[in-house]
Amino acid sequence: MTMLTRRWPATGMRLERDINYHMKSLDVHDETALISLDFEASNTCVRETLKTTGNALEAAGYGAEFRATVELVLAEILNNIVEHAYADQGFGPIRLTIIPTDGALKFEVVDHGVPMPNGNPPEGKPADLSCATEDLPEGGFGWFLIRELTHDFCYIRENEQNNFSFVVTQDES
Amino acid sequence: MQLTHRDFDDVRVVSVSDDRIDAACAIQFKDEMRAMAEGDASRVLLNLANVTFLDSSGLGAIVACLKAMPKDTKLELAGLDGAVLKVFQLTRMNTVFTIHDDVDSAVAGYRHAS
Repeated sequence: MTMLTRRWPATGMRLERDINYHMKSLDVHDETALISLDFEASNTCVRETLKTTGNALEAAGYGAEFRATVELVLAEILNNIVEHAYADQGFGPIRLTIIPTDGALKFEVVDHGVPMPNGNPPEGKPADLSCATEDLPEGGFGWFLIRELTHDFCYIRENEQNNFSFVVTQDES
Repeated sequence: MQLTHRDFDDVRVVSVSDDRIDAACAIQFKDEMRAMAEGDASRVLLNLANVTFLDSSGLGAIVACLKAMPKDTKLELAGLDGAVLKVFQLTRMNTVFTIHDDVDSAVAGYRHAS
């Protein structure tokens, strides 16, 4: 992986590796615990982040099905940032923060890319699959999955940053 | 993205060696599958037994493969498990594809049918 030095405008933090991994502690029983990762918006870094997150959640005692749901939701959110938010410049920082709450995890994702078109994320309506094979959709599943698998999904555009927050509950997965 | 294949009777079994079909490799997967689907078999069975993670890019790529199949060739799936099956179920794509538990039972089924 290439070395990056880039200032994170909000906090003045430098990204000195592709992934900076700060973990106070991650404990399913400790509501003050958090994990915070800074990484570059690339498919490779997204894969790495998903792996790092999965390992941390496993070490903290979260079950396999829940971890699979978390991995899918994060993949969709992060892929969207890689593909759209930073489409013009081809790179940019992403910060992911994970905070345990009662029976769930709260996620905060921040990027510095272009704003959501229309000021809001897509509704992610389920696709109509009753059509002929040649008319089947090949995209649009991502936001459906995000909406389906999360609670309290929130998007705020502030200080030229996209801020996403959402909750994934353990019993839902 | 590595695909391998076995041909027998009238079916080509295409197996995915990678454990993920995701945004990082969906396009390569589509391209490799296009090459794999060019054959004489009237059926292509995509074996996903090794795949443990599929995101919307991967799902979209599999749908694209279905749409790109040569005219008289059917694409069916086998070996979907856990997280991969869940993506198909959540999106109801499991109603669009024929999904077999595994390659052996699929092939046995084809033999009895013919």
